Amino acid sequence: MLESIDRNTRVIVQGITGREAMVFTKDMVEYGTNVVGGVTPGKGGVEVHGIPVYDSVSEIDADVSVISVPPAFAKDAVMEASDAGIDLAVLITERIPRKDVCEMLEFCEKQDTRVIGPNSLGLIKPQEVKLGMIGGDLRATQRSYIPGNVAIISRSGGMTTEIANLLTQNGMGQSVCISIGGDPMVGTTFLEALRELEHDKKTRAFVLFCEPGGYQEEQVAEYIIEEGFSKPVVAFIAGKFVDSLPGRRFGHAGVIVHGRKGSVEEKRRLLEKAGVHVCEMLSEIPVILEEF
Amino acid sequence: MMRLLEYQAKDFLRKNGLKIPEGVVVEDPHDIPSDMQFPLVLKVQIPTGRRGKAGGVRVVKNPGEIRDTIEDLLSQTFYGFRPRKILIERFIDHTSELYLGITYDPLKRKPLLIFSPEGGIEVEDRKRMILELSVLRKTFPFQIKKFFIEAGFHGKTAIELSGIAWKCLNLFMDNHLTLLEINPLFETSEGFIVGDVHIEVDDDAGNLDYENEYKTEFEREAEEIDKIDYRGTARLVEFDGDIGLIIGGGGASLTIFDAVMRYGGRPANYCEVGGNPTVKKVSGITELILSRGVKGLLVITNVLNNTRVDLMARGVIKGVIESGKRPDEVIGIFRVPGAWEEEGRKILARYNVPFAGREVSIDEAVKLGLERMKGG
Repeated sequence: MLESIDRNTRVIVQGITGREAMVFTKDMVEYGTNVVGGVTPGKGGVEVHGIPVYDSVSEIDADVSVISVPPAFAKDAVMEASDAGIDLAVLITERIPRKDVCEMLEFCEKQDTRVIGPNSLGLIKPQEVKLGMIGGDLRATQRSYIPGNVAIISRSGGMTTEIANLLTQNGMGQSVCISIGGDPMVGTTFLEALRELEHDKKTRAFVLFCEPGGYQEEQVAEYIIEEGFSKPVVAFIAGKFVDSLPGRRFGHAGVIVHGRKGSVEEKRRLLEKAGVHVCEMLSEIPVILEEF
Repeated sequence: MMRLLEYQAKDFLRKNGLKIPEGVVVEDPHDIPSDMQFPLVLKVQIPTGRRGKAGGVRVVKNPGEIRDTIEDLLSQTFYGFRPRKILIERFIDHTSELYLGITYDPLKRKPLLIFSPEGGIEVEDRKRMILELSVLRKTFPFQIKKFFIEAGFHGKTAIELSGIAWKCLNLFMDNHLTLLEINPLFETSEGFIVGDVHIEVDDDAGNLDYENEYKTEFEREAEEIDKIDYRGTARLVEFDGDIGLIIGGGGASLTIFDAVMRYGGRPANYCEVGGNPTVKKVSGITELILSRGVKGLLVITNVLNNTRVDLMARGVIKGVIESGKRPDEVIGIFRVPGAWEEEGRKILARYNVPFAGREVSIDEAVKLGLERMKGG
């Protein structure tokens, strides 16, 4: 699914009449994204930037939905998209209760709907298509992102653009950049994104932006150790200082289930064991990529 | 995630019908009730586990020791926390220690019920059983009962345990908890009693009425500033260094903080600024950080899409001036690539504050800023 997204992909925006959504919808359209409709319950019949607005996702034929609705409505909106046959939901909304996230993701898994987020800035294929807020307006996006063959997958939305900008400043373009969302529980993990894009013809190397907590990085490392991975992966782990803070609050439960503590040191150790190049400093990323 | 202190979490469980040891919370050694039955267990109330290992849990056998023990506990620091309250509880005679936990598995994206017949601090290494639950599909009591029968329990014990687990599961779901961990759960002649419990509440949904008692004065003031208006956010955490940081957003703050340490700087605070904050909010946190006697200020963010650089610049300059300081002396560097950059650049130039845009990496910006502080 992630590999096939391009400027022909039919995209809708749920919550299109919201303040933020109106802005990023305009930015998406100007960038070349094929936005075929929007959904805001009760506003069916109006238009936003010339895009028709409907009351329900089921009234539009589309492949992807970018969702930006208030947290209390996010669960229903995502499940509605999934039920209507949407293949990919990009969930921008942040601060959604964990219980709702858990419920919607189980629903989507059953329906085979891929979800990126919650708390994602979106996804971009430079000079091709962008989904969500990522990059900002046309000019800002063009300054940060240029086409090329490095894929960026990031737990931080802001750092997706920061790393793309760093590569762009060094003359290195990007194939696809995904902000997978900053929440502890997300619909598309590092590993799921890597596996979907491993054979993407436009991508020759991957950059992962990692953070303390959770077990996504460890999962990637274990997968690569067991199954291998055909393309180079470079990782940067932010928040080294967090390891040294007193009273780290990892409960036993996480350790019981995953046998590890989500610390930066453990993530680094495992990723390096898997042959992933872990950069000490952010600015090393383009230097290391140069070697591949 | 807000972590409840043990006494708060126990209060919550007691109100919801679980058995906990009788006890009181004291802040002052002179507040001890006179009618206590010895031996007693004294436990420091700090938001971290492994307190026993650090000497924060003491058994007191006679009334003569209790006051000195409390004074001793209140005078120490455990894992960086100075306890303000001591929980005094009846010592529980028990035949075994069990473990019962409920949490979300972020990779499976499911709630899990975890049980171990051997609880205690090294529970990670002991045998355990895990029941995968679902938010989408309901869980029924018989499934929990089956889980404990399969764990080898029978009769009254099995039913009592599944009753506790069922109750915990409902508390977990209904109150938007992200972790509910009873460890140990004492098996006693009076039934099962909660020895210790760790509860974390979802910040985005939970509404338990317990206060977070472990914020510093600095952090409380920062929260007040953040509440001035709803535009943008500013989160601050205090550290003991001398470099003030106004940095953002989330992932970038972690990156910048690491870079400051790597180049030998000692941060006075951690900070996450984002979402287009107002001039008032930015000047407020600038003043707060400067009030802690820092030797300089670094203002650095990732490449921003929609935060207005001119408003950030105005806010920082205003905060510095109102603190009675000179912007060019205090601010090591201002690296905020974003919207309205030219206007921001002009404001900063007026005060001779060096501006850096997207062409300067985060690492370089930190290095330049720290060097400039040393030089000045």
